[in-house]
Amino acid sequence: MISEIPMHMLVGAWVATGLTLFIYTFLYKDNPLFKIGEHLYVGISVGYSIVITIYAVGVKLLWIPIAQDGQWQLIIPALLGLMISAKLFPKIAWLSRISFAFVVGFGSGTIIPRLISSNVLSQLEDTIQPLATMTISGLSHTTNFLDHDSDINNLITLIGVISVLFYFFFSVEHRGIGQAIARTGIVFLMIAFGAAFGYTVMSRMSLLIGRFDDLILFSGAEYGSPTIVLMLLVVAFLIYFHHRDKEKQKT
Amino acid sequence: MGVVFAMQYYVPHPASEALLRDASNWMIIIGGFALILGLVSLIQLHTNRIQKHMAGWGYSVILFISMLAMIIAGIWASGESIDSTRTLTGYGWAYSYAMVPLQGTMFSLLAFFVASAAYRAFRARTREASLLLIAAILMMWGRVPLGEYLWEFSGDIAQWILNVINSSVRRAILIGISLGVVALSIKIIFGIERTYLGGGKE
Amino acid sequence: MLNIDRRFIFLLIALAVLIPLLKPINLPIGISPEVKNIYDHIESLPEGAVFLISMDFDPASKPEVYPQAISLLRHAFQKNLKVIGMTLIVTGTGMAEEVMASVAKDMGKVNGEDYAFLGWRPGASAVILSMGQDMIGTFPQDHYGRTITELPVMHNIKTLRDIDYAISLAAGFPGIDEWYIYGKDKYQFELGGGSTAVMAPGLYPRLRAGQINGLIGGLRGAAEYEKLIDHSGKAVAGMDAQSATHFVIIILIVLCNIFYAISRRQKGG
Repeated sequence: MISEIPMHMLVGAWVATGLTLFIYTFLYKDNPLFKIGEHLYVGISVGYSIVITIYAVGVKLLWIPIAQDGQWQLIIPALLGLMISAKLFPKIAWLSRISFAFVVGFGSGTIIPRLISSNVLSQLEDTIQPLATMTISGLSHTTNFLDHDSDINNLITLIGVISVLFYFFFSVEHRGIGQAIARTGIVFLMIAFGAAFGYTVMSRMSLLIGRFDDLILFSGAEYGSPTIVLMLLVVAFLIYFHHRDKEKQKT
Repeated sequence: MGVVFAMQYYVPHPASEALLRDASNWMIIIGGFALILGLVSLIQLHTNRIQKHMAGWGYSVILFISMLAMIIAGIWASGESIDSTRTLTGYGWAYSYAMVPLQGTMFSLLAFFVASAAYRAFRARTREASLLLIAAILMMWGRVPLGEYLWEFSGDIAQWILNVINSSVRRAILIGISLGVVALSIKIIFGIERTYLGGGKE
Repeated sequence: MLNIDRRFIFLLIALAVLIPLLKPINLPIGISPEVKNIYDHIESLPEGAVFLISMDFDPASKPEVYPQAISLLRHAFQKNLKVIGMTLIVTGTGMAEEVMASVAKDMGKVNGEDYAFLGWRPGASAVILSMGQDMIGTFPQDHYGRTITELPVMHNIKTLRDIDYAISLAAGFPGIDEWYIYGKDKYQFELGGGSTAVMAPGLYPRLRAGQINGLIGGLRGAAEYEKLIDHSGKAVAGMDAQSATHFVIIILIVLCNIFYAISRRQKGG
């Protein structure tokens, strides 16, 4: 059965399972297996990023356009990029300021109108919604909580936005009516943070489910049951490590 | 630079659009070089550990070996994870069977710690904490199939909390933060804020 | 009882994940309006419409967002849309490439003719701005080194204004916020979002304001989308475990508060 799986997948299953279990040993306590996994993670991630950057930027955005298409003006951003590294040498560190000024200047300039448009004006526009509608029979106010665009929910949204904005406005003391508004803001904040906590739990559990899914897949006989074999080896190592630590503490 | 690109947003002239196009292209190229700073810092830290034989220096050797191996594999495969015959390259193999499991597992550890922290610390000491607790429970209950199966209305409650209460709070926070960022950006453009240039007085 | 060894809690959580994965119950999954909106919008797109999917997530978020990518790509290929894939996260490049290649192979789609994978570029917001002005200049070659202008799928696509629908699958920065602020706000294409559950609550203001037309949040959102396209995968399979872990946490929190109340009464009385 094992021979049906390509060799690279077979070896990959053992490596992936081993590395996963190395990291999970941290749940018992910090130990050499976890440290190996941790340092491998950093080394492999950095190595991967370096290669992708070399090809995505160095080759496709610099080498090919300059050498093959004659776009010599691209030497300027390449120089600006290299000048960032001047920060590492104290004598010429001032050169990096030119690059940072370009980057930060561009970033600051482009963000101002865009943030005002998308995060302030558009959001305020959506907050100011009708709280009642004029019909033939007079003023009507929809109170269906399940319809998130109903008038009652628009009112709650308006109260929420104003009270939370007011809560964070510390230039004015929260007294009297101000205190009431701030306390309303706190109520809204607590509910929203509770929702955020619930979603955070959901997210973290999903990550765990994903890893366990792979461990279950690799426990199959077609892969040689790396999950079971390696788990036994890891547990044996942890028992040895625990006893070794105990001996060290005694001496 | 800051003033030019802030004004550029309002000027639809082809020259203005070309300026934005070229500047953003340059930013992409400069962004690629930013990796060098982080890389040098990492190399300095771990080389120092190895040279001084500090505790755990062997792990730094492992780090360098794995980094070099990845770079060699990547250059051998010309930066491709899957080659023209749709086969996984060595670089792609290391990514799929080493990097992805390592990074995924590292972050999945948080699931255990969130559960442990919830048991030890999530106590309704005050009215506000109780509100937070109730909202969290309603959200966790209402956003899973078992919760909706046990109490059909829980899904609607969770949706209402998300779309009305949570949305209004996040909107207020978003507006506040955005105004703060705009103010900071203006300060940077006019030279009032210069910490981004690094230490020392000008 | 309040100070029990946390490794006991770890074991509880591990069992709560393991048992439902081994013995699924397959409870029904309700569909939320924000996920349905994305599905409906893709359903409404005509054949040949240009669909940009920016897979802005890294391996840490794979369990939540990768199933979203699979479902969206399957749906897009089913509708015979022109699919353009890319990423703004360097460590996500391999996964983005893998998901596009595997789903395309499954659906019989050809690289260059039916879809293109542009790869990664650094700069986050600068990339979006640059694509808005000149997509060919931002990605003169695709991830495999082929000239973009020679790919049939990229004909007549010069800037983001030529995109009919874009979705950012995000796990942090850069993500949906940047795609809206630097992309849709100026270049006026329709934008949807998929995200991790941690990020999802923060995106509801944009959803409510119509800045994004839909949101697939976390593993639950991915499961809903799998149900909509009638192709159950890892997301649906994970929902029973999700239910179990949530209820374990709820029970732990309730127990913690009961023990806390009892210990307070004992100290006070």
